[in-house]
Amino acid sequence: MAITGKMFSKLAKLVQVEFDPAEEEQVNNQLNYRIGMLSSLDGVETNNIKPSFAPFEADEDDLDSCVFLTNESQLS
Amino acid sequence: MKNIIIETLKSLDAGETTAVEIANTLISVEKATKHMNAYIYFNADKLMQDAYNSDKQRQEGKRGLLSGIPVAIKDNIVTADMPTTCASNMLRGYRSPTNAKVVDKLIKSGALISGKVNLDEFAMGSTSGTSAFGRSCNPYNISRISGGSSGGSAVAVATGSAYASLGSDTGGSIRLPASYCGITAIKPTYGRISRQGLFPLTTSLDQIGVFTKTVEDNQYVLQAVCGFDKTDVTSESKAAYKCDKLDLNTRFKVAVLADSYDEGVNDDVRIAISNVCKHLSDNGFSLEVVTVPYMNQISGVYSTLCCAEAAYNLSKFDGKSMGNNFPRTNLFEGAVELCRGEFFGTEVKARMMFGKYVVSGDNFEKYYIKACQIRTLIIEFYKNLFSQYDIVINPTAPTTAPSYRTKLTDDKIRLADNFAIIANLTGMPALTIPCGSDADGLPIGIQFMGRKYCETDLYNIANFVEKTYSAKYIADFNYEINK
Repeated sequence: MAITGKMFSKLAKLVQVEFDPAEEEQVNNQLNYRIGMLSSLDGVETNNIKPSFAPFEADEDDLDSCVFLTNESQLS
Repeated sequence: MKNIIIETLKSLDAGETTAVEIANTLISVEKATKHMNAYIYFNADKLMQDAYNSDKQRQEGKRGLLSGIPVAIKDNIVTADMPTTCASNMLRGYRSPTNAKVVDKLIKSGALISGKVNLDEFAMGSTSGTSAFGRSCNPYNISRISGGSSGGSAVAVATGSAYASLGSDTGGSIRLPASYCGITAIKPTYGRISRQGLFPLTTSLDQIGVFTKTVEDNQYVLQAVCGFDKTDVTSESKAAYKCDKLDLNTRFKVAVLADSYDEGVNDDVRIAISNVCKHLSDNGFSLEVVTVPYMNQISGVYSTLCCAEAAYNLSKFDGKSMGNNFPRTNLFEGAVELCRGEFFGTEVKARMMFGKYVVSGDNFEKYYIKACQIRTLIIEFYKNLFSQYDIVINPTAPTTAPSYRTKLTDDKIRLADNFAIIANLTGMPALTIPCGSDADGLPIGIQFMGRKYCETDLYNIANFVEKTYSAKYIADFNYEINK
């Protein structure tokens, strides 16, 4: 799914950056190019597969210290 | 090609040379190669003073593992007496109050810190072209990229303006530039080297590693920088590395990735890898070509994990708490956005935005968690593969160094680190050495991956290849010295 103007603005706000118009086009191209890569994930069956957040057996305290990600709000 | 570090230490011990002489030569080489932009910060006066102190300590009988050996530090690893910029305008002028643990270890071992070397901004890139301080150039042909993100680390060692260097590797950032510049480099097992003091890019993938010209030198330096560190939660109690003597008679069961011969791999690279494999087979190594899954997913998984974590890690830079203070940051609403907009480069902004995209709303499960699940499948696959084989071989990069004019979205850049990323996703150690050159004389690298904490296996097979086959391909520049 290509990034729309509204979604681009929301993402820019989320990461707290401003652009001049020339750079905005460059960033948008890079962004859409990366989004294009995501389709490769679709073909892999991952039902019941536990996600790996780090390349070692970590307990929850360790993971708290090295992986920080949580679900963000909806983009649109 | 001699082991410059091991041989120089012998010469220093024998009184045949001094750290001051070494520093003098190094300063001349740095001057002669300044146009390659390896260093962001190089302080000749400080280097001479440190060399003088090193000689004095040696005279007093004090000698560490690396006494008098000049080592360059990637500029995303903090140093107390030199600036640390991450090659970003965001951190221009920043000076850390402390050294990174790995820098402390080097200093304790007697190494001379020659300076801070160039990289892609915040280690985001595989060309070194996104540095706010200008790109570093490939010493074989300055119109070619040095590779990245640790481009300066590779150029400094290849040209001789450092005997060893440290880099960081999130998705090939050590091995790719080493391959393009014709030298040896290792990304050790995740957990081997403390990352305390490394500006994080992707916490679950980042690992500090070592560049040198030769395999034995690399192993020698690795022992000085490894070890458990309680301040890094990913550091493991078995992190210390003992420099076992390498044995040319050790033979391994080797898997060669079938993708090494894929059409996306340049002909010269395919031929170079085939020649090494034939040499190994002729000399009693057992080799089998294996087909591996998930190669088509590597870029998507890596991009998702890397950018999601990077967006978080870079959220703390606001232009007022560290580095390049924006003068009016506190004075008006929107100043942080303005500051981050002005000081971050385009690649960094694009990656942060993509990182937020993949963790937002439904995308969190659809992309981020899915990428983590595919990572599980990749880890399980390689765990199983290494129950059957000791070593995995593939080209370090599918092509030789592209032109600096190549677009970042070109396949030559986009797919360059696909082979390297496997070791980051799984935490396995991986080592690259030069093994050939293309029609233009540009170096080709071969990568050896091994089981976790089995770096000595990698050094053994790489040492065998270097000693019996590929030593002639190691970067060997002799810059005119104008003292």
